[in-house]
Amino acid sequence: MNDHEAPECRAAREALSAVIDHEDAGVGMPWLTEHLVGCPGCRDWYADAQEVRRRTRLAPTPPVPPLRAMIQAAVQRQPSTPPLPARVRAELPRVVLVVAALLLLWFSAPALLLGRDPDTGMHPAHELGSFEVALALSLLLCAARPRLARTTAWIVGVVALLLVTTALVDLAHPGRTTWGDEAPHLLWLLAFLALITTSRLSPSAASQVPVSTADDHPTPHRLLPRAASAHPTQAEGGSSSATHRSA
Amino acid sequence: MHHHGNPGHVRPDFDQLVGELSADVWLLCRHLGDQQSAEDLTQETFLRVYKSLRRYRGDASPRTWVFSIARRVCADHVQRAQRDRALIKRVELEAASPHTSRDNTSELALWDLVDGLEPDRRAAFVLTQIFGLPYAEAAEICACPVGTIRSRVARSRSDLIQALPEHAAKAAARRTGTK
Repeated sequence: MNDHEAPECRAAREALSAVIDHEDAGVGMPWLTEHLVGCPGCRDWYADAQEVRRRTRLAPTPPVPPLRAMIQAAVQRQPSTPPLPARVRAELPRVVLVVAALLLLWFSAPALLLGRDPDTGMHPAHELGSFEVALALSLLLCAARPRLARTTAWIVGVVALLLVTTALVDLAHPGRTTWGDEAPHLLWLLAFLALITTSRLSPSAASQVPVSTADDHPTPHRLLPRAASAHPTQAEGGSSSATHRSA
Repeated sequence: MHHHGNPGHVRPDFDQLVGELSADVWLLCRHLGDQQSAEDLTQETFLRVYKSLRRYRGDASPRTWVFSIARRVCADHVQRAQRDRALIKRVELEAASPHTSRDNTSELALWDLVDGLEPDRRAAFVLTQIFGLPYAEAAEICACPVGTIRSRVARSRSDLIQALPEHAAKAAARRTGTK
């Protein structure tokens, strides 16, 4: 609107505006005075700005509605311990998934890369490492694409169940294994729980949006579901004031 | 316990904050959000105040702190409304709706002009001119340098001057006078 102002006029008006408000002008007063003497445009602007200020002061304040009871009622509806913010709640399972995946990669990488496993030879270690690394990478993929979490949860759930069961059986027999060696299997259980939670929080998993065609045909009709899934936390956890009021 | 805040500060009482500031917050929300949502935005602001009262460390005055929360609530609201409007426009379900319904009475015309300012400028103008806050406090609320507030207030004034009905007539008179 006023981008056509000369740079010195812009600086002068900024300073004049601050002077009207009794604030630091940011430029020297001699320069400002000199500019005003030679610039009728800025003199007019100064007069108009004071008129705007006068009108702002005179403009009536709109009547304030009763707020106190409304705010107090809304606060009383709050749980005594405030829940985690919706965004954190929505993102937490994916964070857990990433952490579990990274730890599993850490534990299985030596078997895959170096063929190193305390209980077996080099080739079985490579094979074991391959499976574990593949599954851990699929966890990372699910963290990036939550709609895949539901399917992956079945596989990881079976892996976790079998690993934990066999670990418990073997721990019951002295000499077969140790608690320290078996503890990392609990990460699969953790990953399974994180996958289940992620799949529940992912709206696109429930609505079965066709995955394969989604990126091939950029028609206007798919803007809605895509945009909706881009902001899942807004749809679910956004603490809309309307919901507070109608609760 | 409060390692970084003002060690001498007393945590304000929530009811007292509501009593002293709710009308101001409502007015702020009316300008920074929109007229229809001002009550909802005020309520949302005080819910956030209530939830984060324990974390208030006295770095800023209670009013500055509450106003900065209100500003963020309004910014979120405006952003959400813009996104919703953009979405509606893109799927062509509906033509873009007007921002707010304007009150046509001449007394409130200035408020309409203020509400038409660009959001950052509007925040600076409303805080310093309507609430009369010092630039430094407005800067704290808007999370920007004082120089930015100075600039935004001046730009707001320029915008308002140009939008004043008599400005067009004056400018025309000046043009014909110089010719």
